[in-house]
Amino acid sequence: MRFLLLFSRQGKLRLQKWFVPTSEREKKKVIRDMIMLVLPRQPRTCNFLQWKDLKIVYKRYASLYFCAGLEEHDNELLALEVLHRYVELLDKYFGNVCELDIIFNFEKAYFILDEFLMGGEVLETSKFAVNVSMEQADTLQESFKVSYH
Amino acid sequence: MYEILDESLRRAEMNHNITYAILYECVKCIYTIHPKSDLLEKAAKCIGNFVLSPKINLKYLGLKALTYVVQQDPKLALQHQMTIIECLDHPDLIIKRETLELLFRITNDQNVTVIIEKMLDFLRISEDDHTTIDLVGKVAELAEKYAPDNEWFIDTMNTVFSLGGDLLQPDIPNSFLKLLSEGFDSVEEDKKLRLFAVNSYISLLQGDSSKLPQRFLQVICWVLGEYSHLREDLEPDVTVRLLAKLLDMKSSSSETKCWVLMAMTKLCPGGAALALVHNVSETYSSSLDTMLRQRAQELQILSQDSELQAKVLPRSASMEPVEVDSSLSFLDGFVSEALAAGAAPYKPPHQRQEELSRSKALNLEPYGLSLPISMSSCSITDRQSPTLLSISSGLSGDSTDVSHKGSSTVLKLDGVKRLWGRDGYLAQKEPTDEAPRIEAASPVRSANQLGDNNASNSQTPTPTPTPECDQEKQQLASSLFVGLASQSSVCLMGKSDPTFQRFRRKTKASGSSEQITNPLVLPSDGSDNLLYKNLLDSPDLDVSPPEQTPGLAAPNGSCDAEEESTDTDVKEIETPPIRDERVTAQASPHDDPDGSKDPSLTWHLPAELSALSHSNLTPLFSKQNLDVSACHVQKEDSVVLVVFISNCSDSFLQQIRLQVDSEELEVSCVSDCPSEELQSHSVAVCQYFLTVKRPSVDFDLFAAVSWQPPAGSPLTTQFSYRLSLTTFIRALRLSTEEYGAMWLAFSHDTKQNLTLIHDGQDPLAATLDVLKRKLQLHVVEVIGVEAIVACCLQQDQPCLMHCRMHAGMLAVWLRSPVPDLPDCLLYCCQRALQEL
Repeated sequence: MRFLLLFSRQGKLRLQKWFVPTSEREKKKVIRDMIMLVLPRQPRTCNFLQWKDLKIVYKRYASLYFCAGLEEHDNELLALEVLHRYVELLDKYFGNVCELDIIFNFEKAYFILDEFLMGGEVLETSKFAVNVSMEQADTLQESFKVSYH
Repeated sequence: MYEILDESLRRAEMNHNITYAILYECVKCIYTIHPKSDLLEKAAKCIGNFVLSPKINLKYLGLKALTYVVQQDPKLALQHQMTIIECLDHPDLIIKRETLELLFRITNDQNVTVIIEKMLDFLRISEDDHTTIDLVGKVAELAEKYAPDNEWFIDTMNTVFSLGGDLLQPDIPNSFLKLLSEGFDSVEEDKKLRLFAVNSYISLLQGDSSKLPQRFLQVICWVLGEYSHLREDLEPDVTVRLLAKLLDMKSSSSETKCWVLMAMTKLCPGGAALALVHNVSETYSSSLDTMLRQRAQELQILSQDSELQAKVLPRSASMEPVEVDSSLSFLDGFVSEALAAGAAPYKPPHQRQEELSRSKALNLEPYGLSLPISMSSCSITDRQSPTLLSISSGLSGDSTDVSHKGSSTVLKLDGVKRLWGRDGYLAQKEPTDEAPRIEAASPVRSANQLGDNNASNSQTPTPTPTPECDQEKQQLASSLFVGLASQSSVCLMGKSDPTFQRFRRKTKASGSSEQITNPLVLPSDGSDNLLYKNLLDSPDLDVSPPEQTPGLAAPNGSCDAEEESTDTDVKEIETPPIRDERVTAQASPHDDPDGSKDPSLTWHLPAELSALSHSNLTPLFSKQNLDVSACHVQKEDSVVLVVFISNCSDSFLQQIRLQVDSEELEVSCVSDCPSEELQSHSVAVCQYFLTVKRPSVDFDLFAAVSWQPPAGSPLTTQFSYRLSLTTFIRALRLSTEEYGAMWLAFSHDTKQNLTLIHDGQDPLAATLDVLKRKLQLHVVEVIGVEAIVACCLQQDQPCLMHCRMHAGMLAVWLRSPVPDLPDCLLYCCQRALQEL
């Protein structure tokens, strides 16, 4: 996986994760292109696109589009599953996640993503494990806060 | 593996995305590995399910899998053709595109028109650049491969060009034009094709041409320019006007305008639309774009001179494929002339840059191995021109130098004379001094040196048996001469003799070599000066050597013509055989009776041999009634030993048998001696071809003759005959370039100092003369104080020699592919010079 983007129906970027080094200009271009590609898609159309030399897999969850850019050898259905798993993780953590949760707690969203994916590949397949590490992180954060105050 | 796949296929029956993903991968896998029929069946079924599934993602995947599979199993596509047809018209563009991809794979003659039509339809509605480029490429490919007829092909290509616009990959129009120009085998077809193309373009131009993409316009111009003459009813006038219209369009790029002008130039003869042409060329003569200006000028001049135009732009020129000689071999003559006149050889850009940077700064680098990356990546064109050889022969010097630089880690080469520096031959320079001097002088001199080294190297590289390069040598050499022929580095690579050979050879050589090495390590006396002198002298000497070499060559040539010189040469060498003490029988030459027999016996030489010069007849022995004598005859490429068995008794002798053997020579019988009977007072002649197996200074032949006198028991006698190496040496005629090339290729060498013959004004010439006379060497070139000489032992064993006059001695460096040859030859040279 090269990148993972989350953007809203209005074309606002909520989350971006790049698994290969890319310059700022390139990033902006890619984001623009993705938004242009994915947003006009009809509901019952194929979830897979071809863009330059990458395969783009996207899925719409409520008002958010999850978009991943895959390389030649990656399996598209698998990517769909990965996106789904990420959504499940978010759901578990935030409890009935909605877009606002991601907007206001984006660092947690990134945290979960990093626990789950690394370098474009799935790092942790167990939902439980990710949850545990999230809880630990939260506890750490709490204790910091407490010790500060 | 098969079981695993089987299992996976079986168990993935649930309706989950993941299972489908796994199935898909399994299918791909099955089609990649060694086929197994039932697995293939299952996979095919699976694909079928995918394609037929209502879920669009699965459809997509199914199509992809089909595309993958169809090359191996076209029947599968057939099975699902209905579904595929549906997919073609699917509202989702992605699916459509995927189907088109599938169809692309299964295109053949029959369905090409339909498929291309679909593709073009898709192209029209596609907005994505990438898709367009991709599809256009595909269409062009298919059209070219499977075009059913000319008109269709032209039409399709026209559509492709207009749809593809300027996004086209450049090779599409190029290959199209190439196809038009090369045509098919039948001239008729060609003509029709071109005619049709012309027609269509004319009609296009007459319509609205402003929307046509630039590339298309360029193609149109070219085709019209080349082939509009094929259409008889078309006046070039009309075409020119149409083209001029293009020029006026604002949307034409300057590149297109160039093409238009070119086409007009082609259409000019016959005075077509002169005024228009004139106007146009005037307008563009002052254009800011130089290309346009150039074309306009061409147009102007060629339109007025139709003869010239016909010569420059012949009508049928495009029919033959243009052959491009990328190595520019037609310039070789020019280059070699320039080099001979002292021009600097070609330096590729990176080398120039390196030298520039080097000359400016002090080189503070220690002499380690430096491997510039550029060396490995640089590639020299295939030029086989003299330049290459000159550079590569310059490189040969480096190998030795490199060896010495690398020697600190590999060998202790104390007291070893270094004759070759980085920039060429350095006579008697101390190794340590050499290096800084080279560094400083190299950037300036290397250019000249290379040119010079060609000359100096081409002179016989006389003995320095540097059993060649280690890896380090090669690397250092390549790093020093960046950008030089990769071939030369290959040559260096080839020389991988272990260095210990050098020592072996030194001990093998006579004790004299030991003495000689000492004087060789002389204090650096400005061999640089000598080199500089070379530099200065060479232009002058360039004139003189050619004069000298013919002079020298003449006596040499006479050697080959086998005149008396070989006789004299050979006579001296004949004395050893007579002094041979191994003759067991009474070997004492009976001078008088044999001397008298001598002339008579020579009459018995077979006809072809008697024409050639032969050595003195050596009486080998004489016993009772049998006289055996032998002589050897030097032919162009071989030596023939002739043994005369003469029966000087009154009775006949029976059972004469002669057997000749040698360790180092290969003896093959040409004509056997008559074995049955030898009449009285008759002579039997036996001939043997001698070829050298292993070189040595002298060759000994052992022979045994047995005979049976009429009344008595068979007698056997043995005798031996000695031949010197010089009988086998022949002059090898080489040019300097060939010499340079061969010099690099040989790996066995030896170096020594010989005494010069100090009589007359030119000791070098005198010495060379002597050597030439006695040893049948061929002097390739003499430059200043150096000379290169070549000879060969039989046909395929050359030996090259480089002589340099220095400090009253002649330093010779011999090189040869044959292991012992340099040493032996050196010994012969020494002997020859001493015997004067």
